[in-house]
Amino acid sequence: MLEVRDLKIEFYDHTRPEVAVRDVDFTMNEGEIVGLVGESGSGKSLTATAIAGLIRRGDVKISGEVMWELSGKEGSAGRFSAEGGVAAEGKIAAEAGKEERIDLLKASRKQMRALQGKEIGFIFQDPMTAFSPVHKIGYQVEDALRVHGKTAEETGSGNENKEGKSADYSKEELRRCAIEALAAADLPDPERVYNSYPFELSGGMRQRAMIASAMISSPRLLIADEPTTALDVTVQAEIIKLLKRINEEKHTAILFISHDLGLVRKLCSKVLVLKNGDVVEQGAAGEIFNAPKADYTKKLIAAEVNFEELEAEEEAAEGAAEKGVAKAGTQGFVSDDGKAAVEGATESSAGAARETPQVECEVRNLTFLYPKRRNIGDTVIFAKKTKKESLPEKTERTADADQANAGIGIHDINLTIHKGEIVGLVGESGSGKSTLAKCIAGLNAVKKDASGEDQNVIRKNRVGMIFQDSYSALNPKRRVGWLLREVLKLQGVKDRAEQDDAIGGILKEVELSDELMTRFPAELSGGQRQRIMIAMALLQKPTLLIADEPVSALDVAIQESITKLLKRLSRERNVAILFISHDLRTVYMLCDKVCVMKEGRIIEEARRKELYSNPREEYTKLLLRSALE
Amino acid sequence: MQKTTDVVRFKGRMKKKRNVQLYIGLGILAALGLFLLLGFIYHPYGTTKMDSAMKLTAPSLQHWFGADNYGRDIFERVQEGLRTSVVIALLSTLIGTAGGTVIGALTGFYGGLLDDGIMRIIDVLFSIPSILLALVFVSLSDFGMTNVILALGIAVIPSFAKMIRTEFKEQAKLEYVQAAKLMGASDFRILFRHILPNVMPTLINCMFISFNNCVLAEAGLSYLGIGVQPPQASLGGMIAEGQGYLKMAPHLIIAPGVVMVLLLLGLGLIADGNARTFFVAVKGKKKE
Repeated sequence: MLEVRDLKIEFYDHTRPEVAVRDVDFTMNEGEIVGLVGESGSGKSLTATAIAGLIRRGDVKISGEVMWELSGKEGSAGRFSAEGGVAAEGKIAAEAGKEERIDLLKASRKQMRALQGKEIGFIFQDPMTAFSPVHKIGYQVEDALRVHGKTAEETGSGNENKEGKSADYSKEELRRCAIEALAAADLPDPERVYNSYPFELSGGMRQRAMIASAMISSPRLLIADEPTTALDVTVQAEIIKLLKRINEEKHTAILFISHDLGLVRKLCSKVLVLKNGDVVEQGAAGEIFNAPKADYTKKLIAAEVNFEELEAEEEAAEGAAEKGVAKAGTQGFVSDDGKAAVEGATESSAGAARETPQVECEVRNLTFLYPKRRNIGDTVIFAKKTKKESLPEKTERTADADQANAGIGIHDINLTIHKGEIVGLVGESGSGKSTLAKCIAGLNAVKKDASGEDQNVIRKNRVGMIFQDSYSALNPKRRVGWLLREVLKLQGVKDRAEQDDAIGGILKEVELSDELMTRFPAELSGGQRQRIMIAMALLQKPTLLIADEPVSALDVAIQESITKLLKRLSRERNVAILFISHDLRTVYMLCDKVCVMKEGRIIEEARRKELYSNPREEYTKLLLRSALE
Repeated sequence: MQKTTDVVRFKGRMKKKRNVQLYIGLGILAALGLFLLLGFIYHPYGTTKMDSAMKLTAPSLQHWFGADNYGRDIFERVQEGLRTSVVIALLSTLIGTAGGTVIGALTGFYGGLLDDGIMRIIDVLFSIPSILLALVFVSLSDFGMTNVILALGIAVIPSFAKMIRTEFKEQAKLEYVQAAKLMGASDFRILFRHILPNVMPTLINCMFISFNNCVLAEAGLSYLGIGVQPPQASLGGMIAEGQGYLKMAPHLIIAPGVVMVLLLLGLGLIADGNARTFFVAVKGKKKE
């Protein structure tokens, strides 16, 4: 159906390397799911957008061929080739003659437009920006039909109305089709969604609506560019299921782009591994995952955490005695919780007292609510969430009336962090993780109690913070050296030589060379920036480090090295870390204790082992299931 | 390591491709600079010396740009006018920059009542054309160069404040500001050491635009007769004076007019060039 030969994409733009993608060769058959895997910047998305004809010609030079088999009258030819495989497809194409296939790269704008949205559907990574914010979902979903009108085939298969000739859809038809498509994408209450604006839906719902709009004209190829990256794990799993179902029911071929090997493994039958624009390896999914040939693929697969292995490792390391300690420790921390204090005291007060190390930070009955209409009154800068977080939360509010009554923010949080302990904070976006982190760091002005109690957060010492987005968290107009020096200056270290010593030491500790000092943050890689941020936090000599999704924006291999670094630093410097993440795998690798947050409350907290082997709450089970399956 | 080479390449290319507009703009300004320098070496007539025999004579070898209605040498008067205009525009832009940056930074960063209050005042000021504002100021105080500078400077503060406020507001949301806060940096330090460098590109562009506006506004004031007082020459004043002789002796207007256009064009091109490199840098950052 689709054959890509020697695809090469070069940039004229002088901000990027010249050749972004080279020599990509692959074929896709009808109904096949092909995965494109690689780290960010490896050219996955470029390849996809080139195929879909979405690259502006002026910016890049594309060479090679992307042959697309037209379905046309002999639509069955394509269907047939799905069974025949690659060789058969070539034969059929030869038989059918050249006019059956067109080169998408040479196709005219008009030809492409006939295919886009009709034969080729596209799902973008960020469902928020991919929908126009001022149009209703329904309008945008039915747009593909509105643009392309009816064709003989479509009216025959898709609708009851069998006119059998090209015509525009009537308003009623459009509406019915759109609602059908929305329902097919497993959206509850498609009528309501049809009349909603994008911002009224949650991230997962938006992505479903996106899939509905791509699938409405039953395309033969669906290109999904990291469709789940912006979503939470539980939602991710559902979207993947939906894609799989679409593939099975409608026999739509899917080009699935992701950096997440786990997803690709679940979904795809054929995989291409890209690195720096080169195809490192390609083949059937089973082969690649079971017997990777290229070193890079091996590395990628190794970076994926295998839970059974990890557990076995842990078991061997810890031994039975350690387990006992962990158990006592759990009781110890429960006793810090106000309500459970009595029980803890009666049951094992002696044990708790012995095992509980020094308390580093204590949060008691903390409630922090955002003003209800914070989107309009932007005046209080620091009481605002980042855009990314506030949006899904808001939509949950509209979706869930109970939550609207409860207000937005965090409720009644009790949390104790001991010296040198790594506490994981897990939850979906909008669950209040970052809000809690900011409260602890002191960035959110903590509300005082009605009784006049001064503060709910007791900190022993300085708090260092590592942010998720290292682009915005490092001043883009200052060099790395300046940034590090600034930390020291603010601590009163005026002497330049002394500063240099400290910086040299810290850079060594975060495993960076000091030649980076003269660079601007934008000139560093994501992992390097994150390390710089850790260095900046450490220079403040904190005893508590808050890491707000420090690795979520990074590629798997780098994620692992950063987590390892954090773990080592915590052990060496006896720094407590509050590690916030939505990724249960990373949390498992790193943390001693895990708290699960949902809708602004901590619903479960337990020692890591206990939580993963024996979760109490349904929600935790769900999270674990979708992350580990 | 791949990254490193990319960055080096990126920088190298930036330099090579640094835009043509910038060079043309710089070329025009250099030419005007030379023109001014020439005035220090070659000034046989003086800007106020009248020669009734030469009234309204066309450009010749004697008077390169001709002579005006009093028989003064236009070449030398244009030089003086250019100097006056540049000084006025430069100083009033600086006043506007300083005032606008401080107001914009504070209102944008703190928001709240302070922001609301000051911004409403600025909205009111905005509703009055800045030339009118300057006009009122000048007529209330006194004519003369200092007052023109002050008037124009104050008149451009609102637009600076608005632009800078928006920028600070945007920047204040970014996490590096919170990170600086956590480090224990004072608000003043955050505002002017951390955020300001990020606002510089906008600020510089604003300055260019404001400079151009001030040149025009000064010309306007002089044209209305409340700017720089004669016999001191200014580009606007010369155009105003020459207006009466437009049909008889167009060279009275052509010379100062061309110089003014060149000045504005040169600065505009430089500002544009600056905007472009800025844009490229931002784009590169986002794309990566």
